[in-house]
Amino acid sequence: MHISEGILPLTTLAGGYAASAFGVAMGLRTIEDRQMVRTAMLSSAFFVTSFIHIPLGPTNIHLVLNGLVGLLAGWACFIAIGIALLLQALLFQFGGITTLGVNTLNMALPALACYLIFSPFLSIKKIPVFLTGFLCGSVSVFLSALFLSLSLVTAGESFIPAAKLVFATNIPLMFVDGLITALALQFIEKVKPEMLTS
Amino acid sequence: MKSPAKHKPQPFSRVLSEVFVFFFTLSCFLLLSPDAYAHKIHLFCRFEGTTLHGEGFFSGGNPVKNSPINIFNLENGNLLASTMTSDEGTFAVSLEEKPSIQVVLDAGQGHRATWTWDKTSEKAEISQNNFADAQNPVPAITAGLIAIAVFFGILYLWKQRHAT
Repeated sequence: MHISEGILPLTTLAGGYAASAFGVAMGLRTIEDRQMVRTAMLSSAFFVTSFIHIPLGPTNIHLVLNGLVGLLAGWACFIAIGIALLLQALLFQFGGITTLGVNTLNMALPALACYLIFSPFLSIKKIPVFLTGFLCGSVSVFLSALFLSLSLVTAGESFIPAAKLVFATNIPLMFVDGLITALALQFIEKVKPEMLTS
Repeated sequence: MKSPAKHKPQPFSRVLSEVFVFFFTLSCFLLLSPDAYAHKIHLFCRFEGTTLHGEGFFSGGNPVKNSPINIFNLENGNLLASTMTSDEGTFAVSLEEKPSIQVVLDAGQGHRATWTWDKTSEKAEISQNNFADAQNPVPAITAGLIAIAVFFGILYLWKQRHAT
């Protein structure tokens, strides 16, 4: 789900950087000392999951896990995702430096939305953690694919077919990411339940 | 607001062991993932009139499916056309003329192949730029993980300094 260099117009790139900078600033302001190790781990997980591919039918997808990052990191998800994407761009040429802002926004904004929507579910404990995790993982990938497609559309009408195709190929990922997020949350609930509510 | 009574700091040794287990698990996942060691990709194109036909495939023979193709005019750097490869890894783009172009196939994960056409010499040049195949990616991934740990370590110290 990385947008490469040289595709998006300057306004989209600048808008992406501005919005991501605001998110990172909010993350820096709200992150607490006790969240530091957790956020670093979530950032590492996000960084590494791009290398774990799952063959699915005619295509090949990799996990994103931005929903899990958002749910457990809150506003700090902008820092966790931003630094992971920066390192992916520098070390592996995934995405690019000019598109870092847009790519961070496309991944972190859905993660933040999932935090705002689903973290109350973890606190009230009326909905099973597995279901919350599945919905969180699915919704985050759905929103990321949607934002990614919309970003491509800003590059011009010629990118509309590509935007549609990108969105369609990410539909299976919604279910896979939802399942992995659900299993991860269920595991955390068993071994360290306080992590879900703090 | 912080609540020291509610959030007792964990012993450093325990934090360290948790971090070690986490990174060890990540490394195992990574080493067991065969796709971490990716394959080289190839891009071949040909003109039929002013229509450019092309095909992208991995070194094992599998087609590069549903991946973006961007065609740039080499004289001014403008993006001439964009499309996606089919399930067979093929694509076709109608151009108005036959300028000097560079076709870029981006298969993701650092897999990138280019095909360059020079209109004056009417010669094509192919190049693959594949980080994952050129070298083992695990050292770079390890460097990335260390960079993340260092970044958050610095952030921790910075937050502590500004908290007082």
